[in-house]
Amino acid sequence: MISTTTDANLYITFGIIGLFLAGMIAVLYATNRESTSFSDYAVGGRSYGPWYIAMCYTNSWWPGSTFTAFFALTIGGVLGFYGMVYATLGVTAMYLMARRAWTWGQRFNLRTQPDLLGMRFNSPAVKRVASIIGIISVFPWVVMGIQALAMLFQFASFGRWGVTTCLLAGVGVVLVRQYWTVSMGMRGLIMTDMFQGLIAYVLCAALCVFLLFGDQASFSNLAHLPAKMLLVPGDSGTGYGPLYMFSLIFTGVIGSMCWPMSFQRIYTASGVRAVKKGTLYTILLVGGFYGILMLFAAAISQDPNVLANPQQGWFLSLFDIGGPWLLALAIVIVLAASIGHVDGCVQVCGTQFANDLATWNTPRTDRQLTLLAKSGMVVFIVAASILAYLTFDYSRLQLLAQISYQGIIQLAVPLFFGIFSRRGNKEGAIAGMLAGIVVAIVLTTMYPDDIPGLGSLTSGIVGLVVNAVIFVACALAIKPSPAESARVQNLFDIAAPGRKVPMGAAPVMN
Amino acid sequence: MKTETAPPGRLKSQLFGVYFFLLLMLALFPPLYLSVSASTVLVLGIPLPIFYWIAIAVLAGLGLWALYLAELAAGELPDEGEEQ
Repeated sequence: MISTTTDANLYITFGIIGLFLAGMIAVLYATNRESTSFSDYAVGGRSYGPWYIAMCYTNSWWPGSTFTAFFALTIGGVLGFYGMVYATLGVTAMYLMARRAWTWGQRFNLRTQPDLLGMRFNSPAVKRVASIIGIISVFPWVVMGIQALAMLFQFASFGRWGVTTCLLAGVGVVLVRQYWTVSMGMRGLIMTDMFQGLIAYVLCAALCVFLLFGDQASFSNLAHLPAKMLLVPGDSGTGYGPLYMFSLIFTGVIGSMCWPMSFQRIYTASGVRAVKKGTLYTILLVGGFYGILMLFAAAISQDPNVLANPQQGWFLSLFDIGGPWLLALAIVIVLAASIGHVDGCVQVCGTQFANDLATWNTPRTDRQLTLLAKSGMVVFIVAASILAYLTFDYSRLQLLAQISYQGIIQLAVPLFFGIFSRRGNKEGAIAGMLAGIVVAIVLTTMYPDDIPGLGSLTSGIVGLVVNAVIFVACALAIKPSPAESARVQNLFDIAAPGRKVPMGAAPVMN
Repeated sequence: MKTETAPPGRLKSQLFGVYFFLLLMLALFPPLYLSVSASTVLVLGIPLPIFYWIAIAVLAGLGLWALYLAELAAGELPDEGEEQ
């Protein structure tokens, strides 16, 4: 932890944080608008252009831990760069599914990813299982996001504030921010994502490029990295089998569209072209920002302070280079990324609660759905804040996060088969997801990182294989009725290139 | 009746399908990514094991831009807002 004897430094760090929060609130007030319907509240009325889609996706994709955990991975070696590959290839999947996902969303008034799964397999049960998996998987990341905010306040106070004070400050910032997420829904989220994204990703990338031209983190340092940093995990001496990188990248690629907050960005777009163009901008943002940040991490990796504390390397290196001013900037960049990610999680979980789960027994009016979504968000963020406080030093929380990642990718089987293939049925979707998630949970508790006996495959991949086998077996064993075949055929027909999409259709199911 | 040559749309899908499949192989097939491990060769001042991952990401981005332009030229992407 960085310490200081000068009180003025605290004014600098907290002053910059205050400016950032004031700017964020100003954006919210300037763009505040009453929602006219639940779709308006949940997906911003399907009205946003490519840059908004891109920035919103990037906020939901790179959390604050990018600057701690991923930064530390690159301090240790080339492993950190895998994030650039899976992020860009994952976004490619969004491009490829854009036409059907958006068109079906418009045609059937879909608002969430489980909504699409339920419609595609004509099953409310598929929708609800997918929704529950999504909400449970997102929860640990919100808890860790709040805890990460507490760490920011430790840095901002130069270690003078105790853990409890920092945690309360982190929780306070999140709760205050969520007032607008709850009241404004997706519109507030998208507008602040633009503001936060400009700071967290654009400003950060520009700063890193500038620093790479300097002395301490010079680009030329990359030519002199130690040999052990250049080992790809899976090579001899790395302690991993050859399938470790495969598992990480494959999980990341298919996982990109499984996270409900990432997928929901498709429904905020004004059209198929907006989604596709937004995908191109997203690649620039997620890949460009991350690649530049990791090059900076590799360039500064041999700094003794950073080597000793790789998780804090981002803050330590910027303080070493530019004193309290650059440290303040480092903190605000991470704060912007953290808040953007937590906001996205809270918004989507509240929306899914109302849209997918609270309609279990009875259809709801738009007004009821909006109220339920707001209530769900409040309960979600309060529960996460309490848990963040209670589990601040609970190391097993990281394991829960790992399980959640291995669990969420189980949505990939019905999602990818459902969008790219006419085959499959609700029985296979439900049985596959449930079996896959059970296998993933059990194996992750036994092998939190990788499974040495399987060439370092990760548990989620094994679960995914089980999931896919069950899905395909059910597709082969249970023949669809002629009516179901015709329904699915019609779904694919209406999303064919050149077809006009009728508007104003009611949801296909509750 | 089947034609001798594939329609332009199908040819485009096949070309880009092969392109993205090759990129996926570069990212996922262990013999390929392990072949650059520990290499000290510099490409544009960046060690090869790092450049390898950056290149895949850049090629994915360029490929997607090309696909977008091809779809635009083929008239497959309606103007913004036309769907609404």
